[in-house]
Amino acid sequence: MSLAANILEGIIYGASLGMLYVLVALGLTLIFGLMEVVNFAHGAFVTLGAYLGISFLDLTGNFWLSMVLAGVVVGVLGLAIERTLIRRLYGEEPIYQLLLTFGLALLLEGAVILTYGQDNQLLSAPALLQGSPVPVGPATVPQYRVFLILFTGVLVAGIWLAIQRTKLGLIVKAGIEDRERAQMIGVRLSRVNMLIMAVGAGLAAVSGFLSGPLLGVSPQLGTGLLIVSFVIVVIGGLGNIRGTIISGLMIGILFSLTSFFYPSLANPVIYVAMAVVLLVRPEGLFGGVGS
Amino acid sequence: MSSEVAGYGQYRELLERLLDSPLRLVGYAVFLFALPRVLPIGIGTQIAILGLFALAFNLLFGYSGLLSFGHALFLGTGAYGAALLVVHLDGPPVAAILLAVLVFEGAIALVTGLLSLRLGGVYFSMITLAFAQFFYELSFTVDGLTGGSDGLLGVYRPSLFGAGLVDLADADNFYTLVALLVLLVLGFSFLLTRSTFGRALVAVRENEERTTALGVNTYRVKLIIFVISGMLAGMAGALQGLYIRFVSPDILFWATSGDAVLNTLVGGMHTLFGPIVGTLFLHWMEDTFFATSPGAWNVLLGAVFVFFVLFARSGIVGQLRSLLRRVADWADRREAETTSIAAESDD
Repeated sequence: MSLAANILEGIIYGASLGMLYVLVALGLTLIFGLMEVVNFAHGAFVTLGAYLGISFLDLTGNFWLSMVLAGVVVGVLGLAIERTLIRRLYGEEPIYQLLLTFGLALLLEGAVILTYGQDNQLLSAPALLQGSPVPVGPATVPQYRVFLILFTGVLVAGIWLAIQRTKLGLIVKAGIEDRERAQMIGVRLSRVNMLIMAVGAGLAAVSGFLSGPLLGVSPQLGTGLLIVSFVIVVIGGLGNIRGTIISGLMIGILFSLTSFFYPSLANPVIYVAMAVVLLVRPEGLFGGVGS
Repeated sequence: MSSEVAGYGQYRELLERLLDSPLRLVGYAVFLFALPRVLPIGIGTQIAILGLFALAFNLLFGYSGLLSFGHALFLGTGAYGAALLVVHLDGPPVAAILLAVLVFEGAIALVTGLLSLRLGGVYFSMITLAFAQFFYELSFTVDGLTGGSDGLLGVYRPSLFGAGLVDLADADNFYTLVALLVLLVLGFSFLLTRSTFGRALVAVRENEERTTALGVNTYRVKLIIFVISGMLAGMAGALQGLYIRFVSPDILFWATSGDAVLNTLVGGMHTLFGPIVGTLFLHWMEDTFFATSPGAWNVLLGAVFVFFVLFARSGIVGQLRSLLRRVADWADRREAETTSIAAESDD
């Protein structure tokens, strides 16, 4: 295979992985933007989504239905956690919310281990997408990867449009920009918080389920994705939606390209990228909070 | 009545003076002396080392408010550092190993601290976590040095000063060394938190903007305590590597950083001894009841932790302290009542 084909393949593989990161990091960044909560339990939502999805798949035999069900169930769980626990700590120092959600992450991960055991679970791509790889220019890409890019692309674009073009999105943006002022002009942020928490948790669950065929499903799946998401929001800026999407894709592509050429460096390299950004542009590549 | 107006009653005053006195160190010494006699020495040693790790973490978190989620980085590199020195230098004296690790960890903490402190608040937690994860991944990459996922074998405990002086292969001797180091760090922390620098730390925690306005270079204050905390955590790591005589990437995993956070909050984050009490409590529970069921332990641990964050943020030691204060106040009130009744009957 030619070098150009290698690079192209690395970029496409990376984009499919990066979009999975974006789904996780987007929820993280929205939740922080609105509630000033760094949701440590976000990784547990990812893991839970993958395992629940597998259970639903056993029950229904339908990949798509299982994905939706996992997203909805975890979304409702996220909403319940916001209502009953996180809400108690609004207005306090962000450290306590971080600690609280860290405890929840342990609890949820423990529940997954109790229910499903510690062994990795197998999750294959749906039969529909297991056909021969798709030729893209000089490269060939598995159908499931192509699907991932298209599907998550549509999903993220939908969220982007909803935030930019709808009244609700305007409220979310106002809340991220300045919570106090938004409340002063009569926005009921408490309901927006519930919605964003549910959407964020649901997206994390969908990402967890969809990453199963790529990464394998283990109780540590979510925390791995969460830590990469932290790197992404440090680079893209917490609360910065555009920055999160772009840096998620960049990190995915950087990882894939490195793993094509220097496999053993692929995991460490993304942290080096973070260190470089901190050194050169500590405020993040895309400036401050907003849009 | 007059005693209430003047402030504390005599019992409360006595208690406050006791709580603030260096005499506490005697209590710590007794605790560390009793630990391997109440519990098996293996568990006692483990608790003392991980307690030292939590103590080092809390010097940063409890006093400056910076929540590091990456202290596994120091414990892990300290353990690898000590183990590599033993394996490659044919067993240099442990005293030299500890000094070398302190210097080495100081350098690592300086570099990671400079970068982690560039962004404030919650970013600090995420960045420190990411740096620890970097070293975790790196331990697989440089498997020629670390043994990769198989871990580093062939580690043993040389004598403390070389030439067979103080044999640390002996479990009692090794525990005594660990306990003395823990006491030393406790004494150091006691002095540090009562120094001008310690007050600057608390000021940074309580209100960073105002502290800056007062002319304190808060960035430098934070960097110094980060480096001290990292060095001490690294020393705990060196002890851990020498104690287990085996190091694997697990020690650099984020869960190790999480342990320091858990032990500290449950034990009491704004207290000197809390992290050790928390380590004792949680490690003993896990070791005794949940050694074979990690899932159930995580569920319980998560629930206990959430409870402490919501309802008992000052931890076990903090709660005990306020209980003691309430008892002292109650004793003072009783005494005030009896004297005033006596005074009335005199009339």
